[in-house]
Amino acid sequence: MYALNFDPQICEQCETCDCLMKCQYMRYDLAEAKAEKMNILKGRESKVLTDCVTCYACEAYCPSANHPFYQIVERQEEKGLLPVPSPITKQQIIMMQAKGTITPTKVHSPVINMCYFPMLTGCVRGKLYENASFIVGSDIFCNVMWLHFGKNSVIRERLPRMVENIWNFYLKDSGVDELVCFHDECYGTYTQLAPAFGIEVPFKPVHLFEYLSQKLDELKDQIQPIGAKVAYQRPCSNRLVPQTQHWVDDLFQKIGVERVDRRYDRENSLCCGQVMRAQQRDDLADDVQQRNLDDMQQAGVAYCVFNCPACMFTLADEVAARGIFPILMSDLCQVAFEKPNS
Amino acid sequence: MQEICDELGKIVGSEYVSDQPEERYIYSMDPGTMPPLEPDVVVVPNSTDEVRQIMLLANKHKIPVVPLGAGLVLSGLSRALQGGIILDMKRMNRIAEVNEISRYAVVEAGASQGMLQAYLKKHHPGLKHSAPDAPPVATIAGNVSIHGSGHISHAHGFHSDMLNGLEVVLPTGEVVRIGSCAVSKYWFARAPLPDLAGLFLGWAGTTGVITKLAIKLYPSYRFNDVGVFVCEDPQLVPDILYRLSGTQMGEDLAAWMTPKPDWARGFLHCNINYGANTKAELIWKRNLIRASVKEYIDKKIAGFMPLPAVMKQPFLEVPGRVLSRFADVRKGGGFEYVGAIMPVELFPDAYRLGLEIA
Repeated sequence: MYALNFDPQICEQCETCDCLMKCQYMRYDLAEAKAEKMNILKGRESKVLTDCVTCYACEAYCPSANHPFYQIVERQEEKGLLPVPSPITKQQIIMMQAKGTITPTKVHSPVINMCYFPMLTGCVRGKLYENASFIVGSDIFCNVMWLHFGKNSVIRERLPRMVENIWNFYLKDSGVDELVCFHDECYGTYTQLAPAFGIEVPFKPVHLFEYLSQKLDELKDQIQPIGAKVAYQRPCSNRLVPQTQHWVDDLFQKIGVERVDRRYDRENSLCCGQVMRAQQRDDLADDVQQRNLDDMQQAGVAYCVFNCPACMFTLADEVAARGIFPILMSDLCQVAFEKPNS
Repeated sequence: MQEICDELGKIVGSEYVSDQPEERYIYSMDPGTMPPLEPDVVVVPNSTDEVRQIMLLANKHKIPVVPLGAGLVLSGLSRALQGGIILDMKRMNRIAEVNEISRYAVVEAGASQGMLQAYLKKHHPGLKHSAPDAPPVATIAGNVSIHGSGHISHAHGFHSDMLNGLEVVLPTGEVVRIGSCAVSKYWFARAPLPDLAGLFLGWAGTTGVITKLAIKLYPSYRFNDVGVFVCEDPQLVPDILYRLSGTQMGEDLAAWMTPKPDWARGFLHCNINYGANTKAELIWKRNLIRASVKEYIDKKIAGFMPLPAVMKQPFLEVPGRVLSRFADVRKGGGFEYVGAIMPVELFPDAYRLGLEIA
């Protein structure tokens, strides 16, 4: 049940092997890449299975949308080649399990899905979220994080129930069929991951940035351009839904900030490094974080803008230590409505 | 007893003596589960000389005396087993001296952990003392006298090992000084003099009343970090502790398991805290620590929790807020302490016994 939807023939016939050739963390020539790809397809040993940092990017690189990253995760689990040490993986699985505390609750549109980030429900405030309701909790956790742990099985086990919970406890009886996903991970889960595993999603996910863009249009007369330079920390989960990237530029344009040209942005974005630390690869995490932060600092930005709370928790202290203000995109948009000198 | 109270009032002032039932009730118990035992009178002195006079009086009339710090010990040590006088040292809470170059502080017996910590942060931010995970009102003297331990004990021993000198009022009323303070104005060491401190450490105040002491201070690092190393097999813990401690990088090293929250149940955690003067030094220490347990990491049977900075804060706090709240009976906490001091290799057996007892 919930088999991964991919066509091995596409991979066998692929000439470019973009999934591995474009990888920012593993280096292969084309012959090596093809050989490793075949190893993965045939269920043989492959150093990709141990070297992959699980940044999700190859999901975006594949021109055929043939889920190369999900294939890697399948093989990791089959072969017991877990990226993260076993006790930590087990702890996380327990920590993030549904607590069974969800109760039927009426909600009204727009419904903001805060996933399992109760500490961020305070973001749903002010003009941008006027009349919005939000849902949050372990019983609606999107579960995409198990891709970092080589645990597609946990996704298969838990995600269908999460989708049912959202629909049955909140949306169906409220007559709402759209859900604004605060985090790229959730949007990616319901629009890309779920279909890849044949999991049906009865509601329409809306990307937070699309929602914010519409709200900014409605409130455009009240916007006070911020006039700052910003860096954007593109999260790994956005690699599942690269088609949403344009909303970032859209929002920045509307609130009057300049997204600086820097090396590690857009297609060349770097992972925040936290999954590398989970994999016990501190040297790699140090290197990636330093390059990324040096890049931001050299660009002279005032803000480092995040969509992903996990990226923000990981990098905020280091960002701030360099005199850059770490901020979620949602909160940056709120700044555009603040009075001068407030 | 009224005559005794009157005499005590002449020594400390009548407002600092009480034989009233309210005080006798409050001072009859500690936060542990031992049954209450009331004293006959409670006295709160303000100087070593007052303590001396009180001891002379008590000796003359053969009245038992129990010295009391913050009264946070859990095993009934501060109860008046045979009635008599409870000597509450809280007014003697001065920080007499901080010698920055020789790294020691001289404090009176009623000075608390929190007071010294706050004082050092304000006036000597490059120094710290080893604090236990107890409510900040816990006294330094009380903790030292029971061989307490704290956040730097892994590197530097029990708090009694960090003692540079003592001033004690004996049951006879004599005032003695132990350590370099006996022969100079400096409280920098106990050696190479004959060390009589052992007559007053581990004796729960039964051999004399500590009125003043000097403790070592240590560098307070600008950069601090913690690694939480997790495994499932308690048999691995002694070797993990051996390896981590073998790096000599850690200031604090603690092995723990807790049944709540659920994600922690059955997992053994080894916290190693370390500090440095620069970021580069901190990373260097981190790498040494990680290299020491690489064998376990490579086998994927153990690893360091990937904690972002905000989640490390509870492990970096001194005292640990969660633990000190947990211990604070007056604020709704409290626990029975099934503690054991043992060689590292006995950890797995002790862990299993602890589970049975719990």
